[in-house]
Amino acid sequence: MANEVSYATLITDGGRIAKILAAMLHVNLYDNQAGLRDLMEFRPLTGPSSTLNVAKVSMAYTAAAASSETSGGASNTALATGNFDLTPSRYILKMQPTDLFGITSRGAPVTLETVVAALTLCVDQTLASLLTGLFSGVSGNVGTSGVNMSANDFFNAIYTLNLANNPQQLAAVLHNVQVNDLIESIRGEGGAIQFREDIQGMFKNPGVAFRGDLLGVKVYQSDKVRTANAGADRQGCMFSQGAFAYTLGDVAQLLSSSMINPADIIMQSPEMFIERDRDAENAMSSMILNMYPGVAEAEDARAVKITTDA
Amino acid sequence: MPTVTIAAPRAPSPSSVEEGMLPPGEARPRWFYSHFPTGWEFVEGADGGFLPILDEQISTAGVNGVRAVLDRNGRPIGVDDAPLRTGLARKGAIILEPTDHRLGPWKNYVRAYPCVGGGKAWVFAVERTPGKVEGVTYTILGNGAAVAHDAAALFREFRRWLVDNGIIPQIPQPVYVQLMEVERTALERTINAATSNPHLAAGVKARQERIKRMEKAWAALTESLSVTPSARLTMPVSE
Repeated sequence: MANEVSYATLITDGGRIAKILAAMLHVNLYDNQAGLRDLMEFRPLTGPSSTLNVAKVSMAYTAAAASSETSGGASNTALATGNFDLTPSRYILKMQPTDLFGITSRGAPVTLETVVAALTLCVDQTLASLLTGLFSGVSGNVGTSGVNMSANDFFNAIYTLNLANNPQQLAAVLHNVQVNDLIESIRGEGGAIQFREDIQGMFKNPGVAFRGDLLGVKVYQSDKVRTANAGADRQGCMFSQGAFAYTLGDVAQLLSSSMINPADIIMQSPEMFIERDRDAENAMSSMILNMYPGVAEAEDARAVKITTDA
Repeated sequence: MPTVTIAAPRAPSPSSVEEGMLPPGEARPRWFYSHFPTGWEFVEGADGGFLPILDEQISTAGVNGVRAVLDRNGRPIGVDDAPLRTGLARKGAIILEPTDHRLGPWKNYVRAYPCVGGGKAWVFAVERTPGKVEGVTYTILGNGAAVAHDAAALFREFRRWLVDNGIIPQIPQPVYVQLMEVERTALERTINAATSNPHLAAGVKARQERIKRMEKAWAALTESLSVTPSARLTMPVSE
């Protein structure tokens, strides 16, 4: 077709409609079922530095009684601050279907669109994996190595966070094994809590990722929760909002600065893009996803890791 | 043309995974151990006692300020994990550098299995005796799935060695008090639960005995050291 409207022509014509539509599609395609990014604080990458240094300020101060109604006598109080670094790095995922794949997969559930969707879904999966990589850096710990997770460990985590004046909204990311052990332990709970609706709700099987709200804690399950103690345990974590932060480099800058041929872009959003690379000699078309995430522990007192038997 | 004898044919691999390699899904980034001052636990058994908790700190780009280091052609040649280490030091952590000669037989405690596709799975493993590597192992099943076998006993031995050789100081007394508080609270909860669930009575007894073992282990520890292992402040002065 002579006047075919392609994504490339929209870009070169100055059009941005496709970009907006693509971004909307991406939001729907992202893995909001198993994604854990909402549990982290988003910090946009600003400034020319390769590292975003974020300062945090403590706000819990009390005034002191003046020794006299008229005299000055006030001594300066230092403003307690902390900071953390977010350093985005390149993360890639490449898939290389052959031409034969394109020919033989017609009508099959595995198509080129499936490959692109798999690449797109990986954004949140990657962020979930990076989040679980932060748990070992948390200094607080509950649970016992080699012992199954129990309701006691869950309570201990809540108490630990309470001692550090954490806000009401808490979340826990646990490994599948830890969730199973926790449910098994809850079965034996007695007293006031056994009749609570959220306790009963944990016995349902809602599937992957979000498992329920337990004692005011949103419980998530992820098989990306890493092992600890030479493979003997799993290391989950309970935390409040602000414990962990993330950033995603804005790749739109790359595309607008003509560093990449728009005709090779299959999908694009400010957070990632999928580029095509044709190898005609070998009859293969590579699809490469590029994204630039960075994650960090923002405040140690807002989290406690839960280390229990794997 | 001279006669050429070719090598004997090789037996096919018993599984779809190449021999000596793990499936790509098992890849784990490189890491090192750290220990936080409050990170202690009581481990049951003859080789147990109060042992330090060691955390695997992942040195991977994008996490906690770690950045990839590239050569002049833009290819990654390693990582700069200085921000990660600084953050840990700020929280009072002891970093156990794998190449630290003070670790003696436990030096280079992180080793890698190659994975199909080029990745590596970094695990806890040591070569205390030349030629004999101990640590986390894997079994590759006929369907290609990898099953990991932990090295819990070896890891306990490592942690005990770290304390006995002064790499990590003994458990501070306030941490011991905190651990006991947690155990006693757990005992109370178990007692309450057992009132309506009689089958938990055995759990009550087990917790009581565990507390006794912890007290005994602490008594033995303080007796052997003749001083309470804690950094104490001097008494407050009067104005």
